[in-house]
Amino acid sequence: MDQPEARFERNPEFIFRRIVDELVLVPVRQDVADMDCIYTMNPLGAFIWEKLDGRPTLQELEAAIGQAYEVDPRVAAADLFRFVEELESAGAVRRV
Amino acid sequence: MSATVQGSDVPEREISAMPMATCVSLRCTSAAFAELSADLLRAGVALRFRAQGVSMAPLVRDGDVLLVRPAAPRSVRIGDVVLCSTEPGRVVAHRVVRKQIVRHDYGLTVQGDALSRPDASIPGAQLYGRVAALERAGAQIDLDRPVMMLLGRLAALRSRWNLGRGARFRRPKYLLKRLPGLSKYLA
Repeated sequence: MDQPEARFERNPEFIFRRIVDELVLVPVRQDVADMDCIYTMNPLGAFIWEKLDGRPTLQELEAAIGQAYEVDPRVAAADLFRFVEELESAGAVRRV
Repeated sequence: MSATVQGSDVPEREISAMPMATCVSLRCTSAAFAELSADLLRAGVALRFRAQGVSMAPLVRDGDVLLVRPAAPRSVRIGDVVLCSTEPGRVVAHRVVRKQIVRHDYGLTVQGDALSRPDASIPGAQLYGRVAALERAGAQIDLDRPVMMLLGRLAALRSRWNLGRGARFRRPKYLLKRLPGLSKYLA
């Protein structure tokens, strides 16, 4: 993922829930939730997921993480890109 | 990523130790599954999950995949297999063997086909959905087919008969025990 200006949005077929101390992402296809492969997220993953509501670019996401967390920007960018790539390959987000 | 949240009490170790997202299969016996399934079914979303246990054998075997659709207590019939909460943090997919109206609400008695006793009777609010189909070895069994509905009804009757059997034979057994010479055989 080498396009910091690429803009992403959530796939509405994925439902995000906070359940018993777990942050989970459930794929829903044709109104059926598949509980056999749900995604549990750490707080940072959930933070990024919530930010994806506003169709941000990777740069904007990186800036939001920088504001909320004390983290090395290069490490943040690398982890963010990898995370968004994983979400994209799972179908949870898509490029706008 | 190692980071601390500014103005948050989330510990640094918690964030850095976990991958940001992990694909998992939620065990249907977990409290998280109970809460999530209730939440999704009440929102009108059907569920597909892998069953665990043998309480509904031979119909449902360990590892079968169940398709559960949202259902209201009113629409559920005796013989249907339903997903419901029998106690906090626990859901079961068991068969409705009795349906009553209790104080303007539906009371459902559910029981596993392979179990000798029913679960506690539950109010309608603890019903989440109805099992519409199950998948095994790539084949799908539609529980809404007339033959499956008939078998479901028979299974519910069998469970109810077993449930009432003790009471049904109590009186004759009491009378027989009063006959001289038989009491020692019926003790």
